[in-house]
Amino acid sequence: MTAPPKVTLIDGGVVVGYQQGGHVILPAGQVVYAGDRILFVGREYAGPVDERIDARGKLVIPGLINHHMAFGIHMQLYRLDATTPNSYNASLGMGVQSERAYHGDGPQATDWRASAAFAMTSALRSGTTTFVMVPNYGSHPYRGRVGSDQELVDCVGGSGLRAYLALPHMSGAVRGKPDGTIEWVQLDAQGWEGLEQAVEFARSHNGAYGDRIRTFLFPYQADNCSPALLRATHAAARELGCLLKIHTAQYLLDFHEVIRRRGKTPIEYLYDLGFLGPEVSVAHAIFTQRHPWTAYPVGADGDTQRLVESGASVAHCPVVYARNGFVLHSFSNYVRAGIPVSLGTDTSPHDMFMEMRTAALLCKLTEADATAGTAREVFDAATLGGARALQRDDLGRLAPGAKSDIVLVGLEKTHLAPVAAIDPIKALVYCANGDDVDTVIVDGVVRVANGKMPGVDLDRLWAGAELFNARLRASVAQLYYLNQPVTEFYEPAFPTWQSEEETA
Amino acid sequence: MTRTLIQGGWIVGFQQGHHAILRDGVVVYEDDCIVHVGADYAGAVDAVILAAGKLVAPGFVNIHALANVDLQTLVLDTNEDGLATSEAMAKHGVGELEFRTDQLAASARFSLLQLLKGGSTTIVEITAMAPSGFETSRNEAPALADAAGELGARLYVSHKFRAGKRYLNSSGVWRYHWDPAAAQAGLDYAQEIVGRYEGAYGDRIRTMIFPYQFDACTPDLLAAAKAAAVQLKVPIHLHVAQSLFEFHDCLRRHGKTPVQLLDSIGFLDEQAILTHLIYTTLHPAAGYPVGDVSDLQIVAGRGATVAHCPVVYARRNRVLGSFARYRELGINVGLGTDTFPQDMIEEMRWATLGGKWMDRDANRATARDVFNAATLGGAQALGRRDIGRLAPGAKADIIIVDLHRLHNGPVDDPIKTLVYAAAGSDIETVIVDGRTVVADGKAPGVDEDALREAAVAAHRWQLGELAARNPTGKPAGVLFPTSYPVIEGAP
Repeated sequence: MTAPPKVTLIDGGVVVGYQQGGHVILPAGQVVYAGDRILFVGREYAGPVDERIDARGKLVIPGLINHHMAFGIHMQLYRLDATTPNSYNASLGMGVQSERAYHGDGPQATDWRASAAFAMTSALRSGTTTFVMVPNYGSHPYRGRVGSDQELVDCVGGSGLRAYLALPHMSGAVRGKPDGTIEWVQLDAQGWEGLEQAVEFARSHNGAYGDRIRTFLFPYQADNCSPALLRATHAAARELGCLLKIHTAQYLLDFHEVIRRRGKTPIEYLYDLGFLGPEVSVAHAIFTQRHPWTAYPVGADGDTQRLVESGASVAHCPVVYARNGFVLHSFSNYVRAGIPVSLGTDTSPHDMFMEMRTAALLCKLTEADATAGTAREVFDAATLGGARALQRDDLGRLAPGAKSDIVLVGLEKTHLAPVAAIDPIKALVYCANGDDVDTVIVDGVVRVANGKMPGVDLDRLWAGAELFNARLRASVAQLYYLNQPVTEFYEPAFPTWQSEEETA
Repeated sequence: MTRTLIQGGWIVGFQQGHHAILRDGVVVYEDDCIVHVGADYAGAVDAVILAAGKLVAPGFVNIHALANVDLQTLVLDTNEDGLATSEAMAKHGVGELEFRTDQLAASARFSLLQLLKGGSTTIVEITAMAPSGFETSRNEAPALADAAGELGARLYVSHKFRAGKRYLNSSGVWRYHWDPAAAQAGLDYAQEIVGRYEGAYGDRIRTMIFPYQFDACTPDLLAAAKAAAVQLKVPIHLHVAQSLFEFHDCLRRHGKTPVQLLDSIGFLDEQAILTHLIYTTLHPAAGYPVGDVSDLQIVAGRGATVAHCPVVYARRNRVLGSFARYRELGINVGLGTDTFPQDMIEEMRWATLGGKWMDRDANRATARDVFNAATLGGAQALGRRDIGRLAPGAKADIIIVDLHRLHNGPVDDPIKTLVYAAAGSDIETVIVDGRTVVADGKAPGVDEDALREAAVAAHRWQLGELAARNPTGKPAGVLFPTSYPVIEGAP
């Protein structure tokens, strides 16, 4: 017989508790948990307590749900601010892969795991407690990139995070040709094989690590999956009882390609196919009838209605797209229509505070309304929205019976204090960053304490990340993007310093 | 004489007229001045700051920095009723909201501390004006100068004044209450402040003339203020074209856009800083033909600077017509914070994100452009070649940023990482005029806990006073709603 789990009282913080369907603020509150479950949220807990965490001067929030997390170090920072005009790098089709992408000379499986470990650790450090894995897939089979399936699961299990994992699959690829044209390549056999592997993975590993790890199916991009593959994937998910995620309407390019191929918008196509439902997370659903660039009549918003009717959720990752100059229209339009909207870090940094802030500000700009994209809406998205998308009523909230996924944020700081004294949520959303996170508890285990990560070998983590980066860079240097070497696109912000001899 | 060497991982040095990145180099400064930037240094030094693997950059030149506890954050996510001015307030001074002396000192010191910790080494200050005032408090500029003197900031201080107060009358119509004599008294005192503080604290304190808002100044007042600035040889600072209402009201009053009016009275030259200059002929909401850059050509031709503060305006759903077009037409653009948390890295980030979106172009408003604005643009606005850069002869105004944090990841380009991934709290060390004013993220010799608590208390007081005097009669909970219901404990 195992001993009952010890009871921990988090005492004296400003608690974001959950009652009657929403978050509330309890100044000088308490959260009590035992093992993986929260026992009590309120004030004056009367039961026995084994240990206390002093939370005075801190905000106690539910762990953040990073519902669309790039599974590794993202190379976008390097690719920003391209110096050669290249329309396909912008909103038209950022996702177009070079024909020669992923040719195998790049990072090895250990490097990909090191990259994933670095990303997961940085996410955990900044308050993510649950993440949904989104690898940068490319067009070769994903299975094996990070090693065996078990190595993938162990790599994630070792991070301490709560995770949703999938092997992505698709039956096509969109490729930039050397002559500057773009081609959708059909790879049906690859699609069916990928589905088979994905189902096997989902079945084998669901519930691993004491149910911290769950699995889902991930037909990667709607424009790169045949209707038959989507239907079969949908049926397989039903049989497994698992969730689905799909990328669609993320670029103007895939919007127009689906219109050309199917005579429907991407959302309309998936809706009519019967693919959408409450178990489906749609990433990123940017280019819909409501987006001004799709040139539908002003006010047309049938795509939003289809999402509402289907019950599907939208995964919103504003940072990665804002860096490329485009924006969802809009976050609040979806939220206020009743669509579950979640947030994710689809790029580095894996900082949900940055995503919340970016979601809020860009929503205000696109709606021309300072009362849209509120701190409340984006904080809800980072917690309850993600939980709804994952169909979990035990995540994203601090309430008795919920999982012990708890984050403490220090408020007694020069950049936070006055705003936090009036409204700590606005301080979080508008002024904080991930390094303000003080403590992170996942499934009842303290993973971050006083900003430090006990048991994490940071030197080793950094060394692995640097090696991954060097190998990725070396492999990218050999790539062509459309008909140009990629190195010609990207210059550093400033030139290299010249020595006195060089300047003489 | 003390000579200090900083050994850094990446040095943002300045050579041949631009920033350049030096890997594993050194910056050496003697007292308040940089004497060397290079791969190494052979001479003797008295002190060494080890910053291996860290970014050593010029301190930011923040040309529109808020120097009081921020009120604007009170109306985040809501309308601005909570900050409204009534007719009685405007005409009769009812509801004067003015800090006590101790509150004013705490507010000034706290704001400057926040600015320094966020990497602003040169601070062009702006403060909120009480709704009932034609001037800021006459105690304020002295309090700021003394706070900057003590904390070690490089400060451009001014006394602000205006001729009109805008209020909402009982029918909900915007009106102005004008008093040119009050404005003249403010301008007189502003000149006195210039005389008193220009060059104070070893020349760390300089001054400006600051007619507060374009729409609350008559053309005569603006011309008089400009003449005073020219005569005193100090920069002039003005809020202008910050709202669409102001743009169209100017067209109605004067038959000119705000820029055209300023040009017609000789206000625009290399000594003028125009904050925020959002609504020009180029802005889509102004209703001018697409691509009409005539206002911007005027500003560029006169050499005036635009102070761009993207965060505070994004929060109020406004954005510059085009960051890139301003720069491409030759306008000098600097950055300012204008609202808490006063993080210049965040401002750079929003300058680029907003700029890319407005131009539908991922490759404009680049990390290079916004870093230049945050350093060289500000320096040019102030007519200075000795700040905003690390080069021999420049002031020892230096920040050290720790990029070796998980959220930054492996660094390919330290400037792109700084702009797109870093946070103000990554700034570890801040040096102004050769004095280390922030070390390891803390201000040596400052009781930060006490100062923070005083600032919080002042802010709570402001909220209560604003709610009590609000002309709409709505309670504090309606004027300043919290994101979630707050459940207070039993008393």
